Amino acid sequence: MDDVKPSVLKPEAEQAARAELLGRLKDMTLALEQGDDALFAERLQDLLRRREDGFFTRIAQLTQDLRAVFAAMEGDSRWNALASELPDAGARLDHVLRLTEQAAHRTLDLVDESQLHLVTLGSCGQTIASTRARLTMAAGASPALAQLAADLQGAEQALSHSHGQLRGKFSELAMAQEYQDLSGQLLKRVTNVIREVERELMKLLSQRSGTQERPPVADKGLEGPVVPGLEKAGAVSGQDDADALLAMFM
Amino acid sequence: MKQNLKILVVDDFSTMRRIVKNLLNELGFSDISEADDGKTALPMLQNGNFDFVVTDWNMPGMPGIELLRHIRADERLKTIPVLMVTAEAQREQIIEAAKAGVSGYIVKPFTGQTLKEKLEKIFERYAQAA
Repeated sequence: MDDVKPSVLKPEAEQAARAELLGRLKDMTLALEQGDDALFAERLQDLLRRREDGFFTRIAQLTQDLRAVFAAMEGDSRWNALASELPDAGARLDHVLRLTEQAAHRTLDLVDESQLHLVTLGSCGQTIASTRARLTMAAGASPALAQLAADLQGAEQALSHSHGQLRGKFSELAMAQEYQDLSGQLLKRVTNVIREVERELMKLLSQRSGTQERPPVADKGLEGPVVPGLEKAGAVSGQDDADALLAMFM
Repeated sequence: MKQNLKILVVDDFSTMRRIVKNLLNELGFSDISEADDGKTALPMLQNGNFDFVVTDWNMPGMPGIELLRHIRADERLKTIPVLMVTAEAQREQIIEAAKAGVSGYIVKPFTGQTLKEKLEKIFERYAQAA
């Protein structure tokens, strides 16, 4: 494909075109000065027609260039190989998406199941607290029983602290599964790009072989999750920035 | 916060619906339904006496912004608070959502604390307006 060069005017040809244009403009100025409106209109039409001709010449050149590209693709089996590998790449990414979704749901299931144990731990803590209270009452003047009640209180406090910690950690664990939504959205975008390239390539290859297939137009509306290193200029820097922006409209 | 509210969570990712639902449960809300895009959500809202909507933006079928516009254009639904929870962080999108009448906007990834703060702020604003 390297031998295909876009068409440009050579310096001499450009100079000649400029001289011709200058001559035509002078004619037009003269016609205007002499009050010959009909001649001026005719010259103007000529000029516009020439511009349109130039446009169509360029289109024709582009078409020729494209034909040359297609010709260069002929016999290059890598294009066909690429076209057949792209669906595989898309399918693999779909599979990754399903795997992460399953993993995230499995984690959330385990968190849900653990919540039941947390409830049990909580009610055990309450039982220990009430038992300790009764023991303290019953201990009276017995130092041994009072010591038992004090030991029990230590365990009760440690249990309560760990119970609170576990609740917090499980909540964070569930929240951390948010990655699946964000990575999933990014994977879907990449998959869409792959599918789009695949469609375009198939179209190109089928045109080469003479069959026509119209690819659907890709939706390029939203930017999706911000990717470090690929941030777009218009993105907010975080929730505070988003809040400040929203506040301007509230 | 009024914990007996009927809430609709709209997101095409089931993981995210579950996470938002869990967070809302932790905040004491238990009457929560789910929809996977605006097209599914709209008839649910029209027939379901919902008090609050938490929606994603980028969804197949009907995106969140379109759902928001439908809600604001519907005489019976237009006063429902709509909180957008989305990965779309472009300034122009936040402005578009604000102009369409969004009640709050959370950029993913977010924390449970952020969700709590935004809910409180929205309820506060609605209580003042009432």
